[in-house]
Order: sequence, then structure tokens, then C-alpha cells
Amino acid sequence: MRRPAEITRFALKVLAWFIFWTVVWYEARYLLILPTHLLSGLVATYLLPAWAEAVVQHGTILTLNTSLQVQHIAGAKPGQIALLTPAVNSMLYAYGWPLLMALITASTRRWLIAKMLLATLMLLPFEVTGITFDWVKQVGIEAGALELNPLQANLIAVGYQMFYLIFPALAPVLIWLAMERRFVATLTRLPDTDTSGDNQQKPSNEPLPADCARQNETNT
Amino acid sequence: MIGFFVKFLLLLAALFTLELFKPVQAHLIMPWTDSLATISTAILSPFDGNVASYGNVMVTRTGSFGVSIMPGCNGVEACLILISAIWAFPAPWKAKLWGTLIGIAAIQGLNIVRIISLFYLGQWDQKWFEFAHLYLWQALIMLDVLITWLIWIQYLQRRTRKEEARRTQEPPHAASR
Repeated sequence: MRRPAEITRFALKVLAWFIFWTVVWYEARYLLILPTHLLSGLVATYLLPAWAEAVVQHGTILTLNTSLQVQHIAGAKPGQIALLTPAVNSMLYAYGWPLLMALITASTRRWLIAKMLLATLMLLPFEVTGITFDWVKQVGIEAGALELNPLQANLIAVGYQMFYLIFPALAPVLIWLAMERRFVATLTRLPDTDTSGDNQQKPSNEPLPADCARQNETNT
Repeated sequence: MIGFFVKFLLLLAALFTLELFKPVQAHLIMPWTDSLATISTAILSPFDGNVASYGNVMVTRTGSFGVSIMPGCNGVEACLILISAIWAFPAPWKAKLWGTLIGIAAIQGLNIVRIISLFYLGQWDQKWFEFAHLYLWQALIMLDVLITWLIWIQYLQRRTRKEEARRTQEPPHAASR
């Protein structure tokens, strides 16, 4: 059967490219994390100006320096203070990037580099949101350093869960679907709403008026 | 497309929030998670006598290694994503129901492969276990969700075209000459 094989072939292509892009991602991880580092620092200091100070990178770990003091440290000398510095492994929020690159390289050849760059940029907000939720969860819920009411605590918990468990893998697929609608329509034989004519549906079995039938013969 | 994305995200948010409720966790999610360990052990037992399970944990009988199946590893989130994608897509409800049931089976099938592979990978090399567990398998499960959904849509399209072809087939009569 020809049609199911198209999706199978696509899946195998994605798998092959996924292995390639996973190796690239792992080898270039310290470089790929730089935009995330920059953006998460800007977002944290803008959204949480009362206590977020700066983001420091150690390998793939992004640490948020805060002005929040840790109370009651066992063994602390008089006058010693400790500041909360929640740390996040950024790779836990970035592992969808190889999948996104694999989907793009398996689905089109036109404007490939531009699409890859655009897709990488579109993935950034999801990574940064997840990392920010992780920091706030560590500071507000685990360390109890923020005065949160139950609703705020629940919203942070749900937000953290969604951006930790779901969006790192889902966002790449959503971005790819948005970018490659025409390809997906062709792959699944969905009616294409695009009027450019590249992916027109096959003609139906209804009989056509004579002049239209001649025109269709020319086109196909 | 925007309509589909909006419906999909709303459904996903609703299902995910529902999943976090304690009664749902206690009566549905945790029992399912425990059963994953049991099922995986049952599949391995004929080939490997050194595997056992209790609760949501799979261990070697020698006690040298074990994996605990936690939220994020039970395939529930992946199933919620697929369910949301199917039910947000315009289709007859029967097709959505069948797609949901077969889709859940497809995802959980691959999830069991994940659990078993991680169980042996962890015994072989901890670094590779961490990499596969935290990064590799998460993306592969999502790929499974995507491919399952695309196959379902393709099946829908084929069925719709067959029905349309059946409807447009008319016996030849004198008026058409």
C-alpha cells in the first residue's frame, strides 16, 4: 500500500536526522545554551526585579543569583548569610531542539538554513519560560522564600509541570506543524488551503464539463 | 490551523490540570504507573530471571540496580497530548474514539520499550542511561505521538475519499449523452 509507506518513510528519515542532530546538539551544547542564558537573564531580572539579580552559566547549568537570604543555616557563624541561588540544567528544557531540526531537515529543502534559524529562535521562549518556572519553584515552593498564597503556589506548580514535562518535547512539534503546513497536508492528503497550486488535491471522480476536462488533461 | 492550535492547547491544559488532581493520581495514574513496572517485568521474565518488580520499581533480583517509574516516564503526558490533538481535529466522534484507543496503545507500547531499554542501559553505563532517560527517549516518544496522529489523519482522509467516491458513483443513464 503506497500511502502508509509515505509516513513510514518520513518517520525513518526523521529518525536518521534525529540521531545526527542529537550528536550536534550534545557536542555544541555550551554554544547553543548562550541565547538561552542571555534571554533567561533578561526575563528573570525584568519579571522578578525584587530579588533576581543575574544569571551565571557553568557548563549547561544556569544559576540565578538572588538577593533572597537563606534563614537558619545550621553551623553558621554569627553575621554569616547565605543567598538562594537556584540552578537549572538547561538541557532539560532544550532536548527538543534535535527533534525540531530533524523534522525540518526531513520535510523540506527550500530555505532550510533560514527555517532552522527561525525555528531555533521560536523554541527559545519555551526554554526560557520553563527555566524561569523552575527557578521560581525552587525559590518559592521548595525554599519557601517567597510569600505565596495557595493560588500562586498552585499556578507555579502547574506552570512548572507543563513547561518541564510537556513543552520541551511538544513545542518543537508545534513549531514544525506551523512552519510546514503544506508538507503535512501533502503527507496526510489533507485539503490544502493554499492557492498557489503546488499541492492541489487530486480531482474528484465527478464528471466535468467537456472544456474543463480538456484543461485538466493538459495540467496533469 | 489557528483554531486547531487553540482548541488543542485548551484541551491539553484542561486534561493536564485534571491529571494533577489527587484523586486522579491516586486512582488512575499511580495504579497505571505501578502496572507498567509489572508489565515490563512480565515481558522480561521469560528471557531474564534476574528481574523483579514491586510498586513502580523494577529491580534486579541481586539488588544491584533498579529503576523507579515516575511521572514523565509513565507515558501519560504523551497520551494526553495525542488525545488533545485527536479531539481538537475535525472528525466523526467514532473515528476520534478509535484513534484515541489505538493511539494510547501505540504510545504505551513504545513506553514499555523505553522502560525496558533504560533498565538494561542503566546496568551497563550510568552516563548513557542518564542521557537516554533525560533527553533521547523524551523526544522519541513525542515523535511517536506525532507519527500516530499523522497516520490517524491519513486514515481519516482515505475513509472520507472512499465514502465520497461511493456517493458520486452513479449508474449511467440517457440524460448524460
